[in-house]
Amino acid sequence: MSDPSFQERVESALKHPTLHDSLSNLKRITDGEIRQVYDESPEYDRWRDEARNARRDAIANLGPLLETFETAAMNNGTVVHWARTHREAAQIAIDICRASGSQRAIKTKSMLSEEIGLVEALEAAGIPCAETDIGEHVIQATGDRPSHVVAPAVHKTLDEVTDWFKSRPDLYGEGDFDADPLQMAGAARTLLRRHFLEADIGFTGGNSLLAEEGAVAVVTNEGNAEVLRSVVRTHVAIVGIEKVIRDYTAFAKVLRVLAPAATGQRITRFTSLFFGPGEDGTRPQHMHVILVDAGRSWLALQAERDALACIRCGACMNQCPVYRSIGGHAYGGTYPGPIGAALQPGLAGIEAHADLFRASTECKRCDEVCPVRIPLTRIMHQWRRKDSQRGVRRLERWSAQAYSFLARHPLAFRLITGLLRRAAGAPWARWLWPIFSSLPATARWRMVYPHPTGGAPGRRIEAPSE
Amino acid sequence: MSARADILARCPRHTIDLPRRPRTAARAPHPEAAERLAMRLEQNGGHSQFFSDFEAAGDWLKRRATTVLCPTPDLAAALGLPVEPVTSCDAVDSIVVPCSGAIAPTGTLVISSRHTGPVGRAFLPNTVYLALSHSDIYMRTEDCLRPLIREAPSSLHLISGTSCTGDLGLMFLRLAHGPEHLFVLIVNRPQPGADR
Repeated sequence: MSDPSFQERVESALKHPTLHDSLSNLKRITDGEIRQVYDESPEYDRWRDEARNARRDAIANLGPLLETFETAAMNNGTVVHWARTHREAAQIAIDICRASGSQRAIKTKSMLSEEIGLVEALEAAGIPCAETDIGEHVIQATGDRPSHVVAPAVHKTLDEVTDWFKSRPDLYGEGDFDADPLQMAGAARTLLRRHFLEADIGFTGGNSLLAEEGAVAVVTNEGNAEVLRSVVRTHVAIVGIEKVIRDYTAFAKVLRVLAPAATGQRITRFTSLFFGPGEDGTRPQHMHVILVDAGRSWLALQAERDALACIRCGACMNQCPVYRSIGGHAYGGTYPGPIGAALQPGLAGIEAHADLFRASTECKRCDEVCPVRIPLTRIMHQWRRKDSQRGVRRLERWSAQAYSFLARHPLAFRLITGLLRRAAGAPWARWLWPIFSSLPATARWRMVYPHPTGGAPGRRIEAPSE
Repeated sequence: MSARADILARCPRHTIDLPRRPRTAARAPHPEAAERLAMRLEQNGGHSQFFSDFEAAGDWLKRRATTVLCPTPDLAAALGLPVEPVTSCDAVDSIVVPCSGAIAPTGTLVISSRHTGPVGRAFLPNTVYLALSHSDIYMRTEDCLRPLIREAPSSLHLISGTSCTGDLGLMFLRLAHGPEHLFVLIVNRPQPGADR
């Protein structure tokens, strides 16, 4: 069976019985904690400029900064690997497991590992890999997929999560999970601590690669990256090449805007810089970094390269009216929301993700809240322009040109819309409707707008003012 | 062509040049930096105690905890505690490690793991005490990290409160993986009016 189309996923999301309840929590966060931290930080706009400059500098100098990072990391005792594709990255991870004799793996939350399909690849190679982020653990245990870059289980209501915990006393014990959600966090901690202590190898992502210091920066609220690092023999960080940044001062600028934009905290509870393996006699004994390209070097040379400056805070999706309506799964790729619409076409091709950059109301809330000022709406426009140049949507281009003409000529607009209104109400329109609506080009339009004389409320289109 | 050469050949080099601003001198600590640090930490589930010197902090620790491990020889000597290397990581209930620096505006404590004092296991026990000298409190992250990075640590950890998760119904819940209780012992605070 083929994968559902974007339209089918959207329809399914809109009909979902609990999705809107769970997504409404995002509004609570954005209107509460995040607004409060903005209000209390008068320097926040200047911080955003500094963070944007730090990220733009890194993307513009990707080559030299990656070489600098590699040299510094190797001096620290880290083994650096390069992967052109997801498949190469997964294979390197498997090879490291085999070479180190690792039998059990654990990992922290990482969007790139989702992109690669790391857990599935490791398990196919006979190496079970447990997620340690509590949200990711719930997702893994319930056979689901993450739907947000910061809160992977945001699409699940608290009741759904509670029901899951109650249904598995073999994993979480007997607790009064309904009355006290803290007991769920405690039960997950107990279970996951066992996974930590049984693991030989641990995978993390990386929020930044500090080029001059050769360090991998990892940010969490749970502290799972730090616990992982304390117990495993081998630490593997899988990081996209675009995450490189000049040095710790540039990283400090990014760190300053990350948590306020993501969760409304001043700073996340745990931020670690991993420079290399642990000291003699302490863990980890080995550290590897896998630098993954997978389309990033191509995108870095395109006009849409600012999308690579993303620091994965999720602010754009928290504010996006489209994301808040359909959630993350409907987008189909690893990165949902406005950043997904800007980034995915660059990483995986315009053709594969042409629906994403069209799923926008162009309200520009995403541009306003992005802590590194990525012009997301402009990037989506650029993808649309490139997509229309491919010639596959000629009818759409002609329609847009026709509308553009009418919008600039109000008299013509009135004349045409008047004629159309009359035509739609004419008796013979009923006979033409099946022919019109069976055309491939009108199929999507028909999904949303039923026959104007078929009982749907009338819509009046006002002419633009002269 | 190797993956490395292939990727680097495609990566941009100096397509735009941003002026690199000279590094500014460390900003002088606010007179009430320690209080601000303590307040922010308290908001994030941590606690703070002030002591005149390390010995007083050591006495407080001995009264408070029946067993507290100190894997760092220098700190153990200053606190008057026996040095106990952490071997069985999950069996330890409390640990005290040196805090190499702190950032007052965010309530962040920094621990540095390096050859002279590995503290990598500090995240496993339920209760963690961090011993911080008042002179190591900074106002900016960059100023705090600069001297620590020069010491070539294997890792630097910035801790801004107790472990928490927001993954269950988007509620902030305490106690995910890291320490449940976090205390910073701030020592050598200058008397009001004294020159620093």
